[in-house]
Amino acid sequence: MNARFGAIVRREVGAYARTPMGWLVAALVLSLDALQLNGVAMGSERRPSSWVLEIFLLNASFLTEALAVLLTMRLQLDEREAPLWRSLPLGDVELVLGRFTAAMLWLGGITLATLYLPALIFVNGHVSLAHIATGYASILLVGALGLAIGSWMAALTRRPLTAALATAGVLAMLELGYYVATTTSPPWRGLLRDLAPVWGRGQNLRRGIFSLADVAYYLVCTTLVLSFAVRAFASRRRS
Amino acid sequence: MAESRTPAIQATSVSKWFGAHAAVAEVSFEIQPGEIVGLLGLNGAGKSTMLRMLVGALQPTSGELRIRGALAATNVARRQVGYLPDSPPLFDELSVTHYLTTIAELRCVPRDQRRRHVAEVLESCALGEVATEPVAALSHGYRQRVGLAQALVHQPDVVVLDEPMQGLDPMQIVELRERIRHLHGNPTVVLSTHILGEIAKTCDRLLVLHEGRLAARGTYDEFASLQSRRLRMHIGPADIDRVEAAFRPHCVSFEAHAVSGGHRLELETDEDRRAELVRALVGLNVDLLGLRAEHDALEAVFQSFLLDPDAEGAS
Repeated sequence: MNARFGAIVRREVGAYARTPMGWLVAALVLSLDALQLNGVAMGSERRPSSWVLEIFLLNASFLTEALAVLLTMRLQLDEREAPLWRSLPLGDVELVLGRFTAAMLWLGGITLATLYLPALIFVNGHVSLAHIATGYASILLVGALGLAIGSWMAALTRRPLTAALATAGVLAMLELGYYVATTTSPPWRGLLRDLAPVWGRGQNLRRGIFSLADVAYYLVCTTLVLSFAVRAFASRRRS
Repeated sequence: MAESRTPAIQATSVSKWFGAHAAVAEVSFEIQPGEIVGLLGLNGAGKSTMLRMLVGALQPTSGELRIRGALAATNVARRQVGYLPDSPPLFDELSVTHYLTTIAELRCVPRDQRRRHVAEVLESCALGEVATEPVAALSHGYRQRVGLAQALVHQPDVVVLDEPMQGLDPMQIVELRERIRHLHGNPTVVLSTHILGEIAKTCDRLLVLHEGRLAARGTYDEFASLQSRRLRMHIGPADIDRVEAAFRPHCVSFEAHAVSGGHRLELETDEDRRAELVRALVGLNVDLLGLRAEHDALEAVFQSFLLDPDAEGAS
């Protein structure tokens, strides 16, 4: 975009990287991912490696949603910094997308740091690199959608904790829709199942099947929700 | 020529409502380029809201606020303004130089000029010795300087400082005052502070906000001359009725209190009448033991607003 956008991204990534909280969150997610691979995905009985990978990717996707909820707290303008940010000659899009991009980079970095776990499955089992690639694409897309919802909630609420709780609520509602769908009839059944970012839309990608429709769902939803976030932020900035 | 006639700041009937509460109501004023103007007011008077509107962080509910002709809540105006909020928003994890460079970038300083701008502001705000220190490690005085530096790093035409003296010791206040008075490029400065004496020493002109309204405006001397009409006089033993009769033609109000060795008189006149009052005392053969105008003009102005919200200001 431009130099100012780059400056916002660098500043925000720096804020994650130079504060203990950013690293604590990263350490927590990395530990939980390793634990869930050993304790849940591999289990105590012999399982096909592709199944282990799929379960690992499913759990990692939920952890990424949780990570997006935590990072939401940083997506809201800090109360002390807000007057300065609002007085800077920056566009609403630059401010919202800059913070979103920085959070996405941090989330992406943490996610990619877990790649050694599926690499262990790759070395010791029979899974393809394409399976790992589509699985990780689904995790990143879930993360992007989670952060987009977080950006929106951050623009709508006044406190970081409220924004995080609201984001968690929206994501939980979408995921629970997958189970509610079993009690409904078409067209609601299909709609509710398809809206669930992890349970519904992530299934094909986690199984190593590249589905353009699923990727498009994530990208369209993320873009749409980010546009809501920009509108909400702009309206608050002008209020 | 046209540009020189454009006021640096022009507020026309500016109001800001938060729900049913008017934080700022129908405020109008003009500030010329290069002026240093103080914004005075009690807590909740609307100073910070007014300053946030000036820097484009808030939009007026009604009215118009322009910075060198551009609406304040636009990026054209924001580029021309430097802002120090009441608590400096410093990025604690960065070094002073890194922080100022980041702000310069966000303030649209071209890449090839950033290094020079940062070096100049480090020098003018005497931050050279802490340039590589993390902001988090700085003392309050240095943090305030860094806050001022970030407001100046893009060499703005208008500098807005919200309570810049807050928490500084007397030496730091004097130092900051000198810095403000000798800013590079002679920008227009608007500042608010609770330290009334300081605002008088720093500013060319004062605007007094009270309950969101512009209650008074003028120079410190104008405020001071207003207050020279409030006198406190200490006289020796006298027939107080005769003194009152002699003073009445010159006084708007007359109050006498018996004290040891005479009387203490509290007087208000319609203009500076000290000479007439002294002559009247001489005519009555009464000893004048002391005479002084209210010593803190601004505090007295504030008090008069609190007691009488309709009181008129200097102009």
